[in-house]
Amino acid sequence: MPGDHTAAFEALFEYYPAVVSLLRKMGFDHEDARDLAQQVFLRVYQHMDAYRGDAKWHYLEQVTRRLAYNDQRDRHAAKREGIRVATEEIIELPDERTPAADAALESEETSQRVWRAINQLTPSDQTAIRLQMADLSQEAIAGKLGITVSALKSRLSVARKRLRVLLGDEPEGLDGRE
Amino acid sequence: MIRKEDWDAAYRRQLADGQKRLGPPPTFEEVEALSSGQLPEEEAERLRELLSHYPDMLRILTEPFPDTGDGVLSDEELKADLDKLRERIRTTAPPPLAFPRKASPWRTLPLAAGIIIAIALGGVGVWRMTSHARGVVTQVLYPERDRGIGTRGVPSATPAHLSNDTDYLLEPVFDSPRAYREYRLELLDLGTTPPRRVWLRENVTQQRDGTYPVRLSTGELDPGLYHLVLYGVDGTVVELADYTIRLKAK
Repeated sequence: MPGDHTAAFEALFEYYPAVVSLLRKMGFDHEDARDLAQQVFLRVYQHMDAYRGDAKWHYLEQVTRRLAYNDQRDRHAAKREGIRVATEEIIELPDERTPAADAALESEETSQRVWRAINQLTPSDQTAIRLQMADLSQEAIAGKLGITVSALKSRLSVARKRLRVLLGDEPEGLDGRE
Repeated sequence: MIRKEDWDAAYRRQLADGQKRLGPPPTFEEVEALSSGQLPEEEAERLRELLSHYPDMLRILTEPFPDTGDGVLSDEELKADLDKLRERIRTTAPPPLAFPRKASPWRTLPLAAGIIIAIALGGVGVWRMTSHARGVVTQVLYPERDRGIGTRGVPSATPAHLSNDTDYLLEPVFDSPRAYREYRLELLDLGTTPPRRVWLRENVTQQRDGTYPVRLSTGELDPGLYHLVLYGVDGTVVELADYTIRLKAK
């Protein structure tokens, strides 16, 4: 009976705000989050047969994550098709030699030095540094990447030691992210 | 001293370089395969490197499901959205394909009675042949690998070899450093691609000795490789440990 499907489906509506909230936290703006939430619930309705009796929110979470990921991936693809991402970051520097200009120039030189040092690391070490700088839960990242947190921390520790040697400086700028 | 701003600028440049050089983010299916450890290490490392250039994608993958969505929508917005959803379902979305339907009791009752009688007769036959009642075998399982949260597992102890057609009490071991609201166990058949869920047990009890007992009758299962996965549930579902089981034919 279609009525049964609709009733079972409408029982999920209590989670609609939580789905929108999750999408907002994932980085979507308010209207995009509402549009995606609509798509999530439509997808769930169309695939009620795949529902295996998990917690309702867990099922919604899986569908939300998949749709959000694919949507964001499409945005990256569209961006690549359109405006090419500039490799070199354009820094607007004042023409005149002022204290502000000197500071900006010095900052640019320092960030270039850091960038070059990171590029000298092995690909694995570079990955560890980027994951650290993503400023996300290490537990959650490790789970998604199919490695343990201890392995992730171990990699990061090695990468930091190498960076310290290359920069001749403590990589303190990373500390606030742990 | 290198300031945080300098690190951030270098990081942004790293991301832009890598995205241009390595291409778009991996597909969701690739990430799922990576998370479940199905990929060869070389391919897994390539995907980790690629994904590390997309922190926005990592956020989508890792942001926990909120307990509530209070305040994210006004009452008017929520009503408008749900009305719109009802309308879209009514007018455009096709009905669910195979949502479980209630079968007519007039057809199911005789069928159920027949099955019960057949099982009873078969049971008597088996009992006469074996002439003794079969016991439940306790099997302690150690994690294949932990999820980085802590374990006292012995990796070399897996996979556990179980016999076909036996009733087991499985005792997966996991020292959870924190309590979760609920624990779950899921049995996956690794003989299919993607792995097929055999069952999911919710509200599994954590014992004082750090085990999570669950019954498993192997009579209905095909010989092969299986994964038992332990989850902790507390706002979000966290995969805590998995255990490999090899089911042998008798």
